[in-house]
Amino acid sequence: MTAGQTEGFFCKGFVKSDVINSRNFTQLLQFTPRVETMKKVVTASLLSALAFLPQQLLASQATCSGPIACSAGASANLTLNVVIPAYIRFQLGDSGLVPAINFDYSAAPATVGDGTTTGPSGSTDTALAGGATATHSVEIAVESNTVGVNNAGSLTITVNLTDGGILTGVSTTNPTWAEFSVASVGGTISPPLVLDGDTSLITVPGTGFTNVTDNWAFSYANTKVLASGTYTGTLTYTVAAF
Amino acid sequence: MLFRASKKGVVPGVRIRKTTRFMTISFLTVLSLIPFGSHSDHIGIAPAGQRPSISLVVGPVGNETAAAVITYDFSLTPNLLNTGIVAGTPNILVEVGFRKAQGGGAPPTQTVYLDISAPTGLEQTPPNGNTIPISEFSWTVTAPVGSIHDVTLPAGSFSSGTTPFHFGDAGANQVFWMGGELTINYSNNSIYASGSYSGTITYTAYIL
Repeated sequence: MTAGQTEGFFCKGFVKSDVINSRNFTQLLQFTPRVETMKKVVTASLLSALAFLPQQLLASQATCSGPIACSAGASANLTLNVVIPAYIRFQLGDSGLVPAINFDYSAAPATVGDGTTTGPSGSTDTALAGGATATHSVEIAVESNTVGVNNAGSLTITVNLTDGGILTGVSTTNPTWAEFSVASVGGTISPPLVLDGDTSLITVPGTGFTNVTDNWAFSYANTKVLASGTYTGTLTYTVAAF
Repeated sequence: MLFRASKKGVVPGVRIRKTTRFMTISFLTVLSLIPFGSHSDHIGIAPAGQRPSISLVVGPVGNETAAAVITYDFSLTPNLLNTGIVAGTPNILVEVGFRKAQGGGAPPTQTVYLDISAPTGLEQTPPNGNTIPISEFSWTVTAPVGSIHDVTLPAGSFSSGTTPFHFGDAGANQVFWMGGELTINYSNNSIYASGSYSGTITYTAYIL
C-alpha cells in the first residue's frame, strides 16, 4: 500500500471535515489496528493528536498540496477598515479674535437717525476685497465632512441673540437688532437674515466634504435718533449637521 | 469538525500489544511533524507532506493563527485628518512556507509567487458612493521576531487589481520561507466624508 493510497482510503473513511490537512492524517492513521476494543484508543489518540494540529483554512490561513492545487494557490484575506470621524470647522472673522464691527457716527453727528443705511466704519477684520459693500465685512469659513454620518445634504447656520434682541447702552430706547441686516458678499454662504434665531443652510456636495468661505457685510438702518453713547450687542452663530 | 471512525480503516492480523506500541510510535511521529507556534525559522504553519505544498498565514503579530477574519484598523481623530501618513493596527504577519517537490519527477525549478489582490478602493458602509482609493494605502516591512525568512516581502503600495511578487526558486532548500511583518499606512492627505470604510485584500501564494 503506497502512501498515496493510504491517504485516500483513510481520509474517506475517517474524516468528515475539510479543516484537517489530509497529509497529517496519513501519518496518523496508517497504523490503525483491527481490534474493535482499540477503536476507543484510536479515537482518543486521534482527538489528542488533533488538539495539537494547527488549525487550517481559517480566515487568515490556507494551504495547498500537489502541483495542481498549488498552481491555483492558497489564499488568505485581510480586511482594511478606516473610520473617518465627523468634524465641522467654523471660522468667523480673520483676526483670531471675536470679530467686532463698529458703526461710529462721531464724525457725522448730523446723519444720526436720518434713515440712510450705512455699513460699518471699522472692524477687527482685515479690510477685504470686493468693493465698498465688502469693506469691514466679516470673513466666514465652514469646512465639514459630516454628511457621511447623517447622510444629509446640508449644514445649518443658526444665529442667536444673547441680549433679548436689544443692544445694551445708555438709554431705554436702545437700538434693536431689527435695525441691522446682513448679506453675503460672495454668494457662497447665505447668512441667517433675521438676527433673532433665524437659520440658513449650506448645501454639502455629494462627496460629503465641503469647504466654503465667504464674507458677510452688516448694515445699520439708522432710523432712530438715540441718546449719545455706545451701544453693544453680541450675535452667536452656530453651525450644525442634521 | 466532525470525525468518524470506520471499520474500513481496519488492518487485519495485528496483535493488541504490538498495535499499542505502533500507536505510541505513530502518535509521537505525528506530534513530531506538527509545527508549533514558535519555530526556529517560521511562525505560521509548516507546509505539510512530501509533495509540493504551500502554507500561507496572514494574521496579527502575536496572534498569527487567530481563527477570525483578519482586520487592520485605522481610527483617526478629527485633529489627525489630512495631516499625513497614519499607521493602523495591528502589525500583520504575512508568511509563505513552500515545501519543494522531491524525487526524480520533481521539476528543476519551483518558483513561488505571492499575489496581492486589492479592490479599487475602500467603500463606505453603508454604501453611498464614497470611496477611499486603494492607492492611499501602502506598507512597510520588518523582519518578524522569531522568524528567519529566505526572502523578505518588499515594501510597496496597494494598487487596484492583482500585483504579483516573485519570490524566486526555492533552490536547494527543502522548505523555503518568505514573508515579513507588515505595517500598513494610510496616506491621509485628503478629507473624506465621515463614516466607516472597508475593503478586503487577498493574498494568494502559488507555484509556477
